[in-house]
This record gives sequence, C-alpha cells and structure tokens, in this order.
Amino acid sequence: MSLKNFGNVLDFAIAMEQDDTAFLEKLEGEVQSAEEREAIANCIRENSKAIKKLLRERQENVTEMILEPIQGLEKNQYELPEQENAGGHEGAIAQLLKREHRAQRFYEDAARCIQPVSEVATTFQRLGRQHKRRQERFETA
Amino acid sequence: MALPVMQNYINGEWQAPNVSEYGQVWCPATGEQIAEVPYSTAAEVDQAVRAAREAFPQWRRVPPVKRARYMFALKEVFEENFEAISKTLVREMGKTLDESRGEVRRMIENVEHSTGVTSLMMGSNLEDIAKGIDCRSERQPVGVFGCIPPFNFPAMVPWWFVPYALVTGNTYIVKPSEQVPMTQNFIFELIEEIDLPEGVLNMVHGSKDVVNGMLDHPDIEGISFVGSTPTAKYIYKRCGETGKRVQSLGGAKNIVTVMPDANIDKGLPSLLTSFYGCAGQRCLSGAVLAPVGEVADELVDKFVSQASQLKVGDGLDGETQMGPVVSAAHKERVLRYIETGIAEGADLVLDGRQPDVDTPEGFFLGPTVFDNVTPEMTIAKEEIFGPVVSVVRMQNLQEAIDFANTRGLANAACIYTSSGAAAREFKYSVKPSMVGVNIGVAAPMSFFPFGGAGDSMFGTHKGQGQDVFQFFTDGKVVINRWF
Repeated sequence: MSLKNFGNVLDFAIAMEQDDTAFLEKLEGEVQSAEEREAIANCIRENSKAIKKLLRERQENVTEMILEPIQGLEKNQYELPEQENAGGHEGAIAQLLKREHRAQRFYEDAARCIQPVSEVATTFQRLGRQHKRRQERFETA
Repeated sequence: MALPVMQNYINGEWQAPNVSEYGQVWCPATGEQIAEVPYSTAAEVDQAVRAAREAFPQWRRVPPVKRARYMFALKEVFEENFEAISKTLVREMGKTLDESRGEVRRMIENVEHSTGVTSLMMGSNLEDIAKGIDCRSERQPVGVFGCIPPFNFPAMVPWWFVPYALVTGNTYIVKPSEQVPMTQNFIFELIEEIDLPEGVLNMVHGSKDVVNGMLDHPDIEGISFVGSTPTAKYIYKRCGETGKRVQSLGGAKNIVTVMPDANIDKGLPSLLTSFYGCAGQRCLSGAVLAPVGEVADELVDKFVSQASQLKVGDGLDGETQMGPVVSAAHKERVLRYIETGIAEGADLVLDGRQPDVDTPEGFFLGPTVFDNVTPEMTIAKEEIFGPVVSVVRMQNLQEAIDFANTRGLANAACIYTSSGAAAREFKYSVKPSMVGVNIGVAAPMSFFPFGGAGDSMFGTHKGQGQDVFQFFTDGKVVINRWF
C-alpha cells in the first residue's frame, strides 16, 4: 500500500509515534533499572512532542501550490513483524531497537519523498536523527 | 432521522426563515442527501441589512486595533476546530481531506493578514501642499457589504472578504452557496465564540432570490462575487445599475504550457495537481495542456500513465487522490463536454467516464485526457470545470501565448521551462493575471491580490492583498489651514 498524499504520510507518522509511545509506556512499567526507566520516560516525552509537532505540520504546511502526489513511499516497508513475547527484557529491548530503526528509516525516506514541502522534510530529517540517536543509545546501554 | 436544516444568522441570533422552499444538500461521495437549506427571500435579506446597518455606526468607532483583536480570537477558534471544519467541507463538497485542509489554511491566512489593518488601512499626508496648508488622505469604512461565494471553496472564498470588511469597520452579510452551505454554517457557529457585536456579521441562506435581494437593496454598498462568468457579468451589470461597488470574479480556461526544455519528471506531480486537484473544480485548475514542439509525445505518454493511476474515491479516505465532482447535475455537465470532445474529433486517450470507485452512487468521474485538441473545438474554449484535460499541441511559445490571449477567460496561465528567457516572455505577454512558472496552481496567498483579467474578472479591485483594503474603504482627503 502506497502513501501517496501529504496528509496520509503525516497520518502514518503520527500513528507510528503513538504506537511506539504505547509500547514504551508498557516497557517503562516493566524495567527494573532506574536509569533505563528514565531513558524510556525521556523517549515518551520526545514522542509526545513529536506528535504535537507532526499535527501542527499537517495543519500549517498544507497549501494548494505544493499539494502534489507523493511517490515511492510504501507503507508495508515500515510494518514490523508481530511482536514476539519470548525473550523477556532482552526481547523487549530488541523490539524497541527495531522500532527506533523503523522510525529512523521512515523519516529518512519520507523526507526525500516530501521534498516540495520543505518545512515538513526538515522536520522528518530531524526526527530521523532523533530516532537514530536513541537507537544508538539503547544499543550501547 | 431528520436531516439538519441550515438557519440564517441575523443580528447575533440563529433564525429559521419563514419560507416554504428548501434546497437539498448532497454528499458527493455517496450520493446521499445530508442536509436541507432554506431558500430565504428578499425579506430576510432586508432584515439582515437592517441589522448590519444599525451595527455600523458603533462598529466603525471601534478602534482598528480592537477590531483586529476579534480576528486574532477568530484565528484561535479556527485553529482549534481546523479538522472539524475540513471534514465538514469534504462531506458536502467532495474534495480530498488534504485539499480541504489546504483551503481552511488559506481561510485562516486571510484572517491573519487582516490583522495588519493598523498598517494596511493607514492613510498618508503631505505638509504645505500650498503655503501653510496641509493635506491628508484617510481611509474610512463605507457601510454594509455582502458576499456571494461559489460552491468550490465553501470555507475560503467568503474569507477573502469577510475579515477585511470587518477590520476596516464595515458590517457584512454572507450568502453561502446553496450547494455547500454546511461549512459556512459551522464556521458561523464558531464565530459566536468570539462575541462579535450583534449585526456586524450576518448570514442569509438561499438562492436567486437572496442574490437579487442583495443586488437590489439600496443599503448594501458593495458586493463581492465569485462564480461563473455569465453570473459574474450579471452581478457586475446589476451592481452598476444600483451604484454599488463590485468585485466580480468569473470563470477560467487556464493554459499550462510545457516547453521542450522543461524537466518533465520533476514537473509531473504538480501538473497532475493542477489539472485534477479538486477534481478540476478550481478557477486555477489547468484546463489546456499545451506542450510546445517535440516534448509533446513524451509528456502526453507520461501524463496519461500517471493520471490513470490516481486513486479516485471518497475525500475522507486518506488514500484518495481525487474526489467526486460536487453534484449529479455537474457530473452530467462534464460528461456532456466529454461527448462533445469525442463528437468534434479529439482523441480520447484517457476515459474517466466510468471510474472504479467503492460508491458508484457518488458523483465520480475519473481523470480524462483528450489529445490533438484544436483551438476551435468547444473543449478548448469553454470552461468545463471538471477533471478533463485538453491537450493542444503548439509549434512554439508564441503560439501558446496567442492561444492564452484569445480565450477570453484570462484567469491564470502557467509555464514549465528551464529557460529564464521563455519564462520571462510568457509572464510578460500573457493576458491572464495569475501566472505560474514551474508551478501548476498559481494561487496568490492572502497578502497578494487574487483575480483574473478579461472575462474572468469584472471590477477594478481584486480579492485579498492591498486591493481588498481599497475596496472596503473610501479615500477621504482632508485639506487643512489654520488661522
């Protein structure tokens, strides 16, 4: 399934952040380490901020002049396999890394595809970098 | 379940007019009736005018900075209800949710621009025009104005005028299009939240009787109209007869020229948007695709290939790229133009008469392309206002310019090229007064004037920009000498 419209792409990004937030909130209640819990809480705050930013982008950066069909963004490329329950804490962290990587890939690809709306492309690039940093942080933790 | 029935908003109150005739409001995506609209009469117009006239003396004395504050408040209300306005609009008009959001954005931008009234309404002065005599020019509000908008932009078009009329100290009456009255009805519900003084802004639903009631009313000082050219001419003539100010915006037949040096692949997405955005029901829609020279075959092949892949459907479905046209009657009108194109010998290379959609009861048409259209054919001359592209192949740039300048409807024209010289010659020579260079929808933003030339615009002051401040104010010159 292709993401062909400006609003459609933004909707997907918002839904992805919301889905990741729900996952993080569940994980936050399960981890033992205070340091890890704080890191996850930070991610939840960042996601919440990202959702607000994306909603604002959808509302403020839509104009007739540049409302062009979007090409090359396939929804199924960013779908995650069914969550595996096995693996306990390590499994959950592995799942988190997959989600961070998915978000990073999506934002990088979407930024390229949505170039005519340059403000949104810039936001996507920034969010892509944010998710990359988070992925690296959790990998080294 | 009973359908919602629109009500008039007069003197700060919702009123069900005492009428026997009602119009039907349809959801173009499903073909279902979703509301009823009363066909008010000249009596309701008179009631609204009286309220507006009585409100005027107090309203004009409210300092401009305070009038602007109402608009700041309104912007906040509109932002908070952005999605709800956008979805109401999709439901009754049919365009996609993205297009609808774009329209609501434009509406809000006009509210934002109007808040500059404290600078934009300023006059000027010159000392010593003669020894010891000074002269200053002031801009003053005029009185009661009214607006008659079209069906294709039910949220935005009234707001090309309303905020400017109000911030400059005038009072106002809106008559929403009877085909799409729900959006403006909802917007007026939101306006109640900012507590404008009674009578400053009024709304009367209806059809021809309301239009004629407004045109004939001696206490309406000016009319802003947007719609088809025959009606625009009628409005202009009637306003002239009754001594009203008028800005009357009509139809379009916009040419989109593609030069051999154009970057086709980069330009194609915006070309598609130009012709098929809002299902071609925009006064800025491309109507004639005019490839120059050897670029034609490649351009038409690529254009048809991508147009055929556009997803047609309900505008509220996030994957839809083109919604239905506004009504069953309008669909029939567009279909008749397609039949005419076939009968006159144009090549129908993409046939959108029977699109594959989930709800065939809706008023859907698919992207349609005619190739080898000649300038004399009906589909090259008349406004179709639907998703139908007429490809008229040109030998050179001058031929494209001549074509644009002989359509009569001189609203907009676009050129795709890598040549600065070609772009300059095109924008310099074409008569249409909104020009796009590598832009398919040459839509001026709120701080620039919006309106065409020739038979696309009657009157001297366009919508938006500085023009609209001039339209809503009278220039008073005061010459002073003190003994």
